[in-house]
Amino acid sequence: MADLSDVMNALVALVDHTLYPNGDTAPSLTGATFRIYPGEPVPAQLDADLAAGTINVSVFPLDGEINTTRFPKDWHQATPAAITLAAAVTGNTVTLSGTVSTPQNLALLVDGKAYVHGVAAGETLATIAAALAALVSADQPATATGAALTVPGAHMIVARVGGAGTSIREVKRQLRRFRISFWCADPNSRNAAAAPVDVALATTNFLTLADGSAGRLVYHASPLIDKAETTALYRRDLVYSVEYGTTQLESDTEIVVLQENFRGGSTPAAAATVTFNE
Amino acid sequence: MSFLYPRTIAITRPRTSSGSGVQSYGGVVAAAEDPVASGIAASIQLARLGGTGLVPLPADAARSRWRVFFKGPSSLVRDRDIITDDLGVRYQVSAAYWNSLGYACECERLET
Repeated sequence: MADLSDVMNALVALVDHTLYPNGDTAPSLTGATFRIYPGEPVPAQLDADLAAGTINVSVFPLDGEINTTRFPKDWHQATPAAITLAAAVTGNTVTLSGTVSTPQNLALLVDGKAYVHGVAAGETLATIAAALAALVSADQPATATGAALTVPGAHMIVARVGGAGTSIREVKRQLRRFRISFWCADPNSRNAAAAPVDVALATTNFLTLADGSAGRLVYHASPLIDKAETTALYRRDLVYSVEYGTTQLESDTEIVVLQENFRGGSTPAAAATVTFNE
Repeated sequence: MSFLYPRTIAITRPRTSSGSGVQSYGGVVAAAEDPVASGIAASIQLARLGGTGLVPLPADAARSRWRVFFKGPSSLVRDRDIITDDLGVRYQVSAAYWNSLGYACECERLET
Protein backbone atom coordinates (compact mmCIF):
# COMPACT_ATOMS: atom_id res chain seq x y z
CA MET A 1 0.00 0.00 0.00
CA ALA A 2 1.50 3.35 -1.00
CA ASP A 3 0.85 6.02 1.57
CA LEU A 4 2.21 9.37 2.70
CA SER A 5 4.65 7.62 5.02
CA ASP A 6 5.97 5.54 2.11
CA VAL A 7 6.77 8.72 0.17
CA MET A 8 8.64 10.12 3.17
CA ASN A 9 10.59 6.88 3.53
CA ALA A 10 11.42 6.86 -0.19
CA LEU A 11 12.74 10.43 0.04
CA VAL A 12 14.80 9.48 3.10
CA ALA A 13 16.24 6.54 1.18
CA LEU A 14 17.13 8.72 -1.80
CA VAL A 15 18.83 11.33 0.40
CA ASP A 16 20.67 8.61 2.29
CA HIS A 17 21.84 6.97 -0.92
CA THR A 18 23.16 10.34 -2.12
CA LEU A 19 24.97 11.29 1.07
CA TYR A 20 26.16 7.77 1.85
CA PRO A 21 26.77 6.30 -1.63
CA ASN A 22 28.73 3.39 -0.17
CA GLY A 23 26.34 2.63 2.68
CA ASP A 24 25.75 4.12 6.11
CA THR A 25 28.80 2.47 7.60
CA ALA A 26 31.17 4.03 5.05
CA PRO A 27 32.26 7.69 5.10
CA SER A 28 29.71 10.13 3.75
CA LEU A 29 30.00 12.07 0.51
CA THR A 30 31.16 15.23 2.30
CA GLY A 31 32.94 13.58 5.21
CA ALA A 32 30.37 14.90 7.69
CA THR A 33 28.10 12.71 9.78
CA PHE A 34 24.45 12.80 8.70
CA ARG A 35 21.33 11.65 10.47
CA ILE A 36 18.52 11.28 7.97
CA TYR A 37 14.95 10.57 9.00
CA PRO A 38 11.27 11.26 8.39
CA GLY A 39 9.70 13.62 10.92
CA GLU A 40 11.05 16.64 12.74
CA PRO A 41 14.23 16.90 14.85
CA VAL A 42 14.10 16.44 18.60
CA PRO A 43 15.41 19.73 20.09
CA ALA A 44 17.81 18.25 22.65
CA GLN A 45 19.21 15.88 20.03
CA LEU A 46 19.54 18.70 17.52
CA ASP A 47 21.46 20.87 19.99
CA ALA A 48 23.87 18.03 20.72
CA ASP A 49 24.29 17.26 17.01
CA LEU A 50 24.94 20.88 16.06
CA ALA A 51 27.59 21.11 18.76
CA ALA A 52 29.23 17.95 17.39
CA GLY A 53 28.97 19.04 13.75
CA THR A 54 26.50 16.29 12.89
CA ILE A 55 24.01 17.32 10.21
CA ASN A 56 20.35 16.36 10.59
CA VAL A 57 18.32 15.89 7.43
CA SER A 58 14.60 15.70 8.11
CA VAL A 59 11.80 14.93 5.67
CA PHE A 60 8.34 16.25 6.38
CA PRO A 61 5.23 16.94 4.26
CA LEU A 62 3.94 20.50 3.98
CA ASP A 63 0.31 21.24 4.74
CA GLY A 64 -2.15 21.18 1.88
CA GLU A 65 -2.30 18.99 -1.16
CA ILE A 66 -4.03 18.79 -4.53
CA ASN A 67 -6.40 15.98 -5.37
CA THR A 68 -5.27 14.64 -8.75
CA THR A 69 -7.33 11.44 -8.77
CA ARG A 70 -8.05 10.56 -12.38
CA PHE A 71 -7.60 6.84 -12.96
CA PRO A 72 -10.19 4.06 -12.69
CA LYS A 73 -9.97 1.93 -9.58
CA ASP A 74 -9.20 -1.24 -11.51
CA TRP A 75 -7.17 -4.08 -10.08
CA HIS A 76 -3.89 -5.04 -11.74
CA GLN A 77 -1.56 -7.90 -10.99
CA ALA A 78 1.30 -6.79 -8.77
CA THR A 79 3.12 -10.05 -8.14
CA PRO A 80 2.19 -13.41 -9.66
CA ALA A 81 1.70 -16.49 -7.53
CA ALA A 82 4.92 -18.27 -6.64
CA ILE A 83 4.36 -21.87 -7.67
CA THR A 84 7.09 -24.15 -6.38
CA LEU A 85 5.23 -27.47 -6.48
CA ALA A 86 4.38 -29.58 -9.50
CA ALA A 87 2.09 -32.57 -9.97
CA ALA A 88 2.47 -34.97 -12.90
CA VAL A 89 -0.13 -37.61 -13.80
CA THR A 90 1.04 -40.86 -15.33
CA GLY A 91 -1.68 -43.46 -15.74
CA ASN A 92 -3.37 -43.76 -12.35
CA THR A 93 -0.48 -42.24 -10.41
CA VAL A 94 0.13 -38.62 -9.46
CA THR A 95 3.72 -37.73 -8.63
CA LEU A 96 4.49 -34.56 -6.68
CA SER A 97 7.77 -32.70 -7.06
CA GLY A 98 9.32 -29.35 -6.33
CA THR A 99 9.83 -27.40 -3.13
CA VAL A 100 7.16 -27.13 -0.47
CA SER A 101 6.20 -23.54 0.32
CA THR A 102 3.03 -21.73 1.28
CA PRO A 103 0.54 -20.55 0.24
CA GLN A 104 -0.19 -23.24 -2.37
CA ASN A 105 -3.11 -25.53 -3.08
CA LEU A 106 -3.01 -28.92 -4.74
CA ALA A 107 -6.16 -30.14 -6.43
CA LEU A 108 -7.06 -33.48 -7.92
CA LEU A 109 -10.04 -34.11 -10.16
CA VAL A 110 -10.68 -37.82 -9.96
CA ASP A 111 -13.54 -39.10 -12.10
CA GLY A 112 -15.12 -35.65 -12.05
CA LYS A 113 -14.89 -35.10 -8.30
CA ALA A 114 -12.59 -32.48 -6.77
CA TYR A 115 -10.17 -33.00 -3.87
CA VAL A 116 -8.23 -29.95 -2.71
CA HIS A 117 -5.45 -29.79 -0.13
CA GLY A 118 -4.06 -26.50 1.20
CA VAL A 119 -0.34 -26.84 1.83
CA ALA A 120 0.61 -26.01 5.42
CA ALA A 121 3.96 -24.85 6.72
CA GLY A 122 6.25 -27.73 7.59
CA GLU A 123 4.68 -30.22 5.22
CA THR A 124 6.64 -32.47 2.89
CA LEU A 125 5.79 -33.91 -0.50
CA ALA A 126 5.00 -37.21 1.23
CA THR A 127 2.56 -35.67 3.73
CA ILE A 128 0.83 -33.77 0.94
CA ALA A 129 0.46 -36.95 -1.13
CA ALA A 130 -0.84 -38.78 1.92
CA ALA A 131 -3.36 -36.02 2.65
CA LEU A 132 -4.67 -36.12 -0.92
CA ALA A 133 -4.86 -39.90 -0.86
CA ALA A 134 -6.89 -39.70 2.35
CA LEU A 135 -9.32 -37.28 0.71
CA VAL A 136 -9.77 -39.51 -2.33
CA SER A 137 -10.15 -42.60 -0.13
CA ALA A 138 -13.49 -41.32 1.06
CA ASP A 139 -14.86 -42.23 -2.39
CA GLN A 140 -12.56 -44.90 -3.80
CA PRO A 141 -9.34 -46.67 -2.86
CA ALA A 142 -6.21 -44.50 -3.01
CA THR A 143 -2.73 -45.05 -1.61
CA ALA A 144 0.29 -42.86 -1.13
CA THR A 145 3.90 -43.94 -1.34
CA GLY A 146 6.37 -41.18 -0.72
CA ALA A 147 5.64 -38.28 -3.06
CA ALA A 148 3.32 -40.36 -5.27
CA LEU A 149 -0.29 -41.35 -4.85
CA THR A 150 -2.18 -43.92 -6.82
CA VAL A 151 -5.90 -44.26 -7.45
CA PRO A 152 -6.13 -47.75 -9.04
CA GLY A 153 -9.80 -47.54 -10.02
CA ALA A 154 -9.80 -44.02 -11.47
CA HIS A 155 -10.91 -43.46 -15.05
CA MET A 156 -9.67 -39.86 -15.26
CA ILE A 157 -7.24 -37.91 -13.06
CA VAL A 158 -6.37 -34.22 -13.43
CA ALA A 159 -3.83 -32.60 -11.08
CA ARG A 160 -3.47 -28.84 -10.56
CA VAL A 161 -1.33 -26.58 -8.41
CA GLY A 162 -2.36 -23.06 -7.48
CA GLY A 163 -0.88 -20.30 -5.34
CA ALA A 164 -1.56 -16.78 -4.21
CA GLY A 165 -0.31 -13.57 -5.79
CA THR A 166 -1.04 -9.94 -5.07
CA SER A 167 -3.10 -7.39 -6.93
CA ILE A 168 -2.86 -3.64 -6.68
CA ARG A 169 -5.17 -0.76 -7.51
CA GLU A 170 -4.96 2.98 -7.15
CA VAL A 171 -7.82 4.31 -5.04
CA LYS A 172 -6.89 8.00 -5.15
CA ARG A 173 -4.06 10.26 -6.27
CA GLN A 174 -2.61 13.42 -4.79
CA LEU A 175 0.13 15.97 -5.26
CA ARG A 176 1.88 17.04 -2.08
CA ARG A 177 4.97 19.06 -1.30
CA PHE A 178 7.69 17.70 0.93
CA ARG A 179 10.35 19.65 2.77
CA ILE A 180 13.82 18.11 3.01
CA SER A 181 15.53 20.22 5.68
CA PHE A 182 19.26 20.36 6.34
CA TRP A 183 20.03 21.41 9.94
CA CYS A 184 23.69 22.42 9.89
CA ALA A 185 26.13 24.07 12.27
CA ASP A 186 27.67 26.34 9.65
CA PRO A 187 26.93 27.60 6.14
CA ASN A 188 29.77 25.72 4.47
CA SER A 189 28.67 22.30 5.63
CA ARG A 190 25.13 23.24 4.64
CA ASN A 191 26.18 24.06 1.10
CA ALA A 192 28.26 20.92 0.79
CA ALA A 193 25.39 18.73 1.96
CA ALA A 194 22.39 20.27 0.24
CA ALA A 195 23.83 20.77 -3.25
CA PRO A 196 24.38 17.11 -4.20
CA VAL A 197 21.03 16.11 -2.72
CA ASP A 198 19.29 18.83 -4.74
CA VAL A 199 20.87 17.46 -7.90
CA ALA A 200 19.94 13.90 -7.01
CA LEU A 201 16.33 14.86 -6.39
CA ALA A 202 16.12 17.04 -9.51
CA THR A 203 17.43 14.23 -11.71
CA THR A 204 15.00 11.68 -10.27
CA ASN A 205 11.78 11.78 -12.26
CA PHE A 206 10.00 9.04 -10.36
CA LEU A 207 10.39 7.83 -6.80
CA THR A 208 9.88 4.10 -6.43
CA LEU A 209 7.64 3.42 -3.45
CA ALA A 210 7.58 0.35 -1.26
CA ASP A 211 4.72 -1.36 -3.10
CA GLY A 212 6.33 -0.88 -6.50
CA SER A 213 4.23 2.12 -7.53
CA ALA A 214 5.93 5.41 -8.40
CA GLY A 215 5.63 9.06 -7.43
CA ARG A 216 6.43 11.93 -9.81
CA LEU A 217 9.09 14.20 -8.26
CA VAL A 218 9.19 17.90 -9.20
CA TYR A 219 11.33 20.72 -7.76
CA HIS A 220 9.63 23.75 -6.18
CA ALA A 221 11.84 25.85 -3.91
CA SER A 222 15.00 25.97 -1.87
CA PRO A 223 14.83 28.58 0.92
CA LEU A 224 17.77 29.37 3.20
CA ILE A 225 16.88 30.00 6.85
CA ASP A 226 19.49 31.83 8.91
CA LYS A 227 17.19 33.19 11.62
CA ALA A 228 18.74 30.93 14.24
CA GLU A 229 22.37 31.59 13.35
CA THR A 230 23.02 32.93 16.86
CA THR A 231 22.44 29.37 18.05
CA ALA A 232 24.78 28.07 15.32
CA LEU A 233 21.92 26.69 13.26
CA TYR A 234 22.02 27.17 9.49
CA ARG A 235 19.16 25.54 7.69
CA ARG A 236 18.29 24.95 4.07
CA ASP A 237 15.10 23.42 2.81
CA LEU A 238 14.60 21.63 -0.48
CA VAL A 239 10.93 21.63 -1.39
CA TYR A 240 9.82 19.04 -3.91
CA SER A 241 6.35 17.91 -4.83
CA VAL A 242 5.48 14.26 -5.23
CA GLU A 243 2.41 13.16 -7.13
CA TYR A 244 1.62 9.65 -6.02
CA GLY A 245 -1.26 7.26 -5.91
CA THR A 246 -2.65 5.81 -2.72
CA THR A 247 -2.80 2.13 -3.50
CA GLN A 248 -4.55 -0.87 -2.09
CA LEU A 249 -3.06 -4.35 -2.16
CA GLU A 250 -4.85 -7.65 -1.81
CA SER A 251 -3.85 -11.26 -1.92
CA ASP A 252 -5.54 -13.28 -4.66
CA THR A 253 -5.69 -17.05 -4.57
CA GLU A 254 -5.62 -18.87 -7.88
CA ILE A 255 -8.66 -20.98 -8.74
CA VAL A 256 -7.77 -24.64 -9.05
CA VAL A 257 -11.24 -26.13 -9.31
CA LEU A 258 -14.55 -24.79 -10.60
CA GLN A 259 -17.62 -26.25 -8.97
CA GLU A 260 -21.14 -25.80 -10.32
CA ASN A 261 -24.28 -26.92 -8.56
CA PHE A 262 -27.43 -27.56 -10.60
CA ARG A 263 -30.96 -28.29 -9.50
CA GLY A 264 -33.79 -28.58 -12.01
CA GLY A 265 -36.70 -30.62 -13.36
CA SER A 266 -40.46 -30.15 -13.32
CA THR A 267 -40.36 -29.64 -9.52
CA PRO A 268 -36.97 -28.00 -8.88
CA ALA A 269 -37.54 -27.65 -5.16
CA ALA A 270 -37.83 -31.40 -4.83
CA ALA A 271 -34.99 -32.22 -7.20
CA ALA A 272 -31.60 -33.31 -5.97
CA THR A 273 -28.60 -30.99 -6.46
CA VAL A 274 -26.14 -32.17 -9.09
CA THR A 275 -22.55 -30.99 -8.72
CA PHE A 276 -20.10 -30.65 -11.59
CA ASN A 277 -16.39 -30.10 -11.04
CA GLU A 278 -14.11 -28.95 -13.78
CA MET B 1 6.32 13.25 52.65
CA SER B 2 7.07 16.62 54.18
CA PHE B 3 5.12 19.81 54.56
CA LEU B 4 7.44 21.68 52.19
CA TYR B 5 7.76 18.87 49.63
CA PRO B 6 4.47 16.94 49.69
CA ARG B 7 4.75 15.42 46.22
CA THR B 8 7.01 12.81 44.64
CA ILE B 9 8.44 13.16 41.15
CA ALA B 10 10.49 11.20 38.64
CA ILE B 11 12.68 12.78 35.98
CA THR B 12 13.25 11.30 32.55
CA ARG B 13 15.09 12.49 29.46
CA PRO B 14 14.17 11.93 25.80
CA ARG B 15 16.60 9.38 24.41
CA THR B 16 19.23 10.63 22.02
CA SER B 17 20.97 8.66 19.34
CA SER B 18 24.56 8.56 18.18
CA GLY B 19 23.97 6.72 14.93
CA SER B 20 24.41 8.00 11.40
CA GLY B 21 22.58 7.44 8.14
CA VAL B 22 18.91 6.53 8.08
CA GLN B 23 17.22 6.95 11.47
CA SER B 24 13.79 6.10 12.79
CA TYR B 25 10.99 8.67 12.71
CA GLY B 26 12.04 11.96 14.32
CA GLY B 27 10.02 12.90 17.38
CA VAL B 28 9.69 12.28 21.07
CA VAL B 29 7.71 9.37 22.47
CA ALA B 30 7.23 8.63 26.14
CA ALA B 31 8.43 5.07 25.69
CA ALA B 32 11.80 6.32 24.48
CA GLU B 33 12.86 8.24 27.58
CA ASP B 34 15.77 7.38 29.83
CA PRO B 35 15.34 7.66 33.61
CA VAL B 36 17.36 10.41 35.30
CA ALA B 37 16.07 10.25 38.86
CA SER B 38 13.00 9.08 40.74
CA GLY B 39 11.44 9.20 44.19
CA ILE B 40 12.34 12.86 44.66
CA ALA B 41 10.25 14.85 47.15
CA ALA B 42 8.95 17.98 45.46
CA SER B 43 6.55 20.86 45.65
CA ILE B 44 4.53 21.56 42.50
CA GLN B 45 2.98 25.00 42.31
CA LEU B 46 0.89 26.68 39.64
CA ALA B 47 2.77 29.53 37.98
CA ARG B 48 0.25 30.85 35.46
CA LEU B 49 -2.38 29.98 32.90
CA GLY B 50 -2.41 31.01 29.28
CA GLY B 51 -3.15 29.89 25.77
CA THR B 52 -5.11 26.98 24.40
CA GLY B 53 -3.94 23.41 24.15
CA LEU B 54 -1.42 22.23 21.59
CA VAL B 55 -4.32 20.67 19.70
CA PRO B 56 -7.18 23.14 20.22
CA LEU B 57 -10.37 21.28 21.03
CA PRO B 58 -13.78 22.76 21.89
CA ALA B 59 -13.72 21.49 25.47
CA ASP B 60 -10.11 22.47 26.11
CA ALA B 61 -9.02 24.07 29.35
CA ALA B 62 -6.25 26.67 29.29
CA ARG B 63 -2.64 25.55 29.15
CA SER B 64 -0.79 25.91 32.41
CA ARG B 65 2.74 26.52 33.54
CA TRP B 66 4.02 25.19 36.83
CA ARG B 67 7.05 25.51 39.06
CA VAL B 68 8.50 22.35 40.48
CA PHE B 69 10.70 22.79 43.54
CA PHE B 70 12.97 20.03 44.76
CA LYS B 71 16.46 19.43 46.08
CA GLY B 72 19.18 18.00 43.89
CA PRO B 73 22.66 18.59 42.50
CA SER B 74 23.04 21.34 39.90
CA SER B 75 23.69 18.97 37.00
CA LEU B 76 20.66 16.76 37.61
CA VAL B 77 18.06 18.37 35.35
CA ARG B 78 18.32 19.88 31.88
CA ASP B 79 15.95 21.97 29.85
CA ARG B 80 13.43 19.75 27.99
CA ASP B 81 13.62 16.95 30.56
CA ILE B 82 10.32 15.42 31.56
CA ILE B 83 9.05 15.47 35.16
CA THR B 84 6.30 13.01 36.06
CA ASP B 85 4.53 13.50 39.38
CA ASP B 86 2.93 10.95 41.68
CA LEU B 87 -0.42 11.35 39.87
CA GLY B 88 1.14 10.54 36.50
CA VAL B 89 0.96 14.10 35.22
CA ARG B 90 3.85 15.00 32.93
CA TYR B 91 5.66 18.32 32.73
CA GLN B 92 8.34 19.48 30.32
CA VAL B 93 11.11 21.55 31.87
CA SER B 94 11.37 24.91 30.11
CA ALA B 95 14.06 26.33 32.37
CA ALA B 96 15.95 24.18 34.87
CA TYR B 97 16.78 26.96 37.31
CA TRP B 98 19.02 25.89 40.18
CA ASN B 99 20.47 27.71 43.17
CA SER B 100 21.89 26.66 46.50
CA LEU B 101 18.39 25.91 47.81
CA GLY B 102 17.72 23.44 45.02
CA TYR B 103 15.73 23.47 41.80
CA ALA B 104 12.88 25.74 40.81
CA CYS B 105 12.06 24.30 37.42
CA GLU B 106 9.73 26.30 35.22
CA CYS B 107 7.61 23.72 33.45
CA GLU B 108 4.73 23.31 31.06
CA ARG B 109 2.16 20.67 31.84
CA LEU B 110 1.99 18.23 28.93
CA GLU B 111 -1.58 17.66 27.89
CA THR B 112 -3.37 17.86 24.59
